[in-house]
Amino acid sequence: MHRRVQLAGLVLGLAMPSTACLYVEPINERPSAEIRRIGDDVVFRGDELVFVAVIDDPDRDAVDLAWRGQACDRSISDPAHRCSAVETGTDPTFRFTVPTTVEGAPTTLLVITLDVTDSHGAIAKPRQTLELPVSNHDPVVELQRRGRELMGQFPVGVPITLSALGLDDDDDAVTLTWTLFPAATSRPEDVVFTRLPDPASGGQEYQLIPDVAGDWLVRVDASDGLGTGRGELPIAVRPDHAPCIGAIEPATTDGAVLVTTEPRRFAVLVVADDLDSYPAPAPGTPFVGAATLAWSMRAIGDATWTALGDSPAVTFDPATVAPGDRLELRVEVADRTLRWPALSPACTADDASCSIEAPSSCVQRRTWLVEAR
Amino acid sequence: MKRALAIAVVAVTAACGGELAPDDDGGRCEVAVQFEPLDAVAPTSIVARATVDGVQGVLTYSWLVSSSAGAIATTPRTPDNRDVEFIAAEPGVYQVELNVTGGSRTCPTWRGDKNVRDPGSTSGAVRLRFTPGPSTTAPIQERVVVVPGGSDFAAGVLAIDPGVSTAIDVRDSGGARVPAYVRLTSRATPDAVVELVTSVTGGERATLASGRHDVLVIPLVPDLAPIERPNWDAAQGGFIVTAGASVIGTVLDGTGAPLADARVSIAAAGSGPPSTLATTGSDGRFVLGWQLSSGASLVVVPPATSGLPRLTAPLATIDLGAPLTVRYQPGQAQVELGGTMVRVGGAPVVNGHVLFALELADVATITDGSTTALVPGAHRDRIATDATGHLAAYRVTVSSGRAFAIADGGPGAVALVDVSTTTTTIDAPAPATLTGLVVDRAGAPLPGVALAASVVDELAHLDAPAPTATSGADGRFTLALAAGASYQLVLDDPRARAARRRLLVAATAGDLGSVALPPPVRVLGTVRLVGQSTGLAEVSVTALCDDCTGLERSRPQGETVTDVAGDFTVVVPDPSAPP
Repeated sequence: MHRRVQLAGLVLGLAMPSTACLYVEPINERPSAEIRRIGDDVVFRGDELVFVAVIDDPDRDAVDLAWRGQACDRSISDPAHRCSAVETGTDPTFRFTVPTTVEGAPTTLLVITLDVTDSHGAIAKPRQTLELPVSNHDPVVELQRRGRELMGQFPVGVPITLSALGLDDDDDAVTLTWTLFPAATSRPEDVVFTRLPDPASGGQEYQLIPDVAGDWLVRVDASDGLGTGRGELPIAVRPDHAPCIGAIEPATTDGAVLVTTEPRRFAVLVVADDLDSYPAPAPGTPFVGAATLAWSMRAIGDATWTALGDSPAVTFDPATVAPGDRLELRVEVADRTLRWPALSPACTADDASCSIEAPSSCVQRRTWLVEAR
Repeated sequence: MKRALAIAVVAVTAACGGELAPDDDGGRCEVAVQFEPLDAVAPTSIVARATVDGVQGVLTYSWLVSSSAGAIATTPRTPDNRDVEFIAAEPGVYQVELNVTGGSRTCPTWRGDKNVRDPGSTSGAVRLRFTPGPSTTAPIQERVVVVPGGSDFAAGVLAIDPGVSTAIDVRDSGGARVPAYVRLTSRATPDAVVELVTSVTGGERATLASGRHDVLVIPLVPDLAPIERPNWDAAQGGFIVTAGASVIGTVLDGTGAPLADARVSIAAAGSGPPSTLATTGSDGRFVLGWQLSSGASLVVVPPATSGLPRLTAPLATIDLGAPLTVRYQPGQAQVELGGTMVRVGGAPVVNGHVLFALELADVATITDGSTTALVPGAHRDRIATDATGHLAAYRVTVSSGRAFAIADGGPGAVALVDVSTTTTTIDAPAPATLTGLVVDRAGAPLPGVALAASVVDELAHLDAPAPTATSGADGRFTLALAAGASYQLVLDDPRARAARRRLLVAATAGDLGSVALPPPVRVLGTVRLVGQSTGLAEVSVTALCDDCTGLERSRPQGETVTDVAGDFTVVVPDPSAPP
């Protein structure tokens, strides 16, 4: 567009017709441009970003926009940097999804450029370039424990399965590092802390068999190469409790004479324990098992006990001895820790009943004094 | 009147828009549910009718019905959903829960079970024995429940008697306290007994179920005779024991000489009172004190060094008021078996033992002076072997029978023995390997079934080996048994795919073939003390057969223990299944 300029004052001093118009080509002014991002959140990989071109052309010329977006693995001032293929756009709004990786390396930088050219070919200067750092989502760790947990505590010597899963919003590969902080009195050589086959569902599993009671801690550090996360799991380990003999048959007092006139069954009906009980739980019940029983007998006056096996019950026929003969029939129980009363300094062979640890009401030995008639 | 006033107050307060009156009358909301039909047979439609008492207001009834198949829809039978109907397509236990809300008081959630029978099933009686743990003083009790076959069965709440602490006092005729063994058998549940021992200081108490008891008192001091007190009630007080009726006699050996140091007693039939114990003097005499009863036997156990057999003389035809003479038959040869080599499968029984079961017919006589009866005898002795497999000193009367030779760690074996003066070795065969296949009733192999064998008959003794095995992945098992012995084999599936089975087997090497376990029925229930609303934990629940006799009555078909809520599930053989 040409502009008509009236130069009235100017003509006064020129030898020109008194009225004339001078047409000149006006000077084109270049547009100016600015990249404005919608939103100001920290940029993470996978985010979809929206940019808007803010353009001012003094001449109100039509303008052409040329967007370029690239993701890079490091600063572009680093000669070793690698960037993704360029994404382009020509609309006033430019959408750009941050790629997770650039040639396998995590994206750490976005470079968005905008070139604006008006209809006269004037290019906005300086060229608009926006460098946006791309942040990393730190991995997080999900840590769980499974085992014979009673009121939030685990018995000593019983396997605990620890499961950890590293999660990363950026879908980065996460490496896990396990650290065990045993209780203060633990002896490393007595602790089992072994890796189990990785579960098909992902993550890792370890088996811990604590050797002493106390406060244990399992820490799992996760890393995605750019950031780290940490999970910690306190494990309260308490001493294993001895099993307690519950109901027995015949239900008589230890040391009291039980006169037997016909064949009779002697049985342990209930063993209560945090690990191994009787009647035994169904096979496959996690972390719990069957209590072990040991029967023995001796005739009155004998010093030694004769082992009778480990069945839940034994049968005594008074016809196998003479009328008036007395014998002691004994049963002892143990859980998997095999702390038998017979081996405990708290119990002597002559103790009819015995408790290897408090409370004294929890006994691991019962003895019937049987008299045949 | 007090109740009516309280209701009026509640109504007025509510009408004024205020808070509901507090339950200051001590009342409470009670919810009950009744089912129709009472005896439901699948498939059927069941109507559940709710009854709510002690609450005012417009109530909302929310029902939840489920079975092993999952939740089951209910259909209202009344506009307010108070009564509902549901379809029981399959036999089994249907759990029903009813929540009643909206009333002036909070109502408890009602939970119950409805049994639905299998149309083709038959029922069977099972004794459930409840043995409370040490923390509960309630006595052992039993309930007989009729279990329908073909499906699980909910026995509901089984309220057991907390019992009454009862003083048990045993005195002699002079009023002095006597240490004694006392056995109290509830007449209501004769298999559940309470036993205790009294002392000279007294003060003993027993917690007894309500009702009368049959009582056996056996003094633990010489010269006082055991007594039996049938149908005893605590109001009758303690027990007086006396010397009882005297039974006098003499024991003579085969030469007619008095036999000293023989132990003599009278064993009563069944649970009757035995006599006192006596040991013959140098003149062979004995004196027993006894509460006379029928069906008893005189037991004579001679000293081990005598070589004479033990006698069990029936007393049915003998006049116990007359002096008795027990005499071993003359001319019975004896042999010393000490030093005899004992072998199992050709290998010496080192540091083991041999249980002898030798029978002697008519080895003695018993007479009251006018009536004479022949008396059988037996050697039933456990004799050790030494480090070379030789028997310790053992003198016996020449006889025949069986010898169960047991080496440490092995099942042992049974030899038929004909004891004579020429006996120098006892050779038992090698242990028998018994194999078999455990299957369910449909013939499918059952892996993981526990097998336990125990010797029965006269060779059974406390330290007889009790071999065990577990069926393999193919259901097969192998048991090493004492060849020649008879066993009771117990097969127990810990996964409860099948019920427990017992069978008698004669130990001979070979294959037992398929052993089918009966299909299981789960009996569910809750144990509470009478008058308590909470369950009783750690109560042993033992399922026992109702029509067995003898020792078999005490051998469980299934056993479990109540959980913290008092609930239990015990597996028993399906009564519908043929044995």
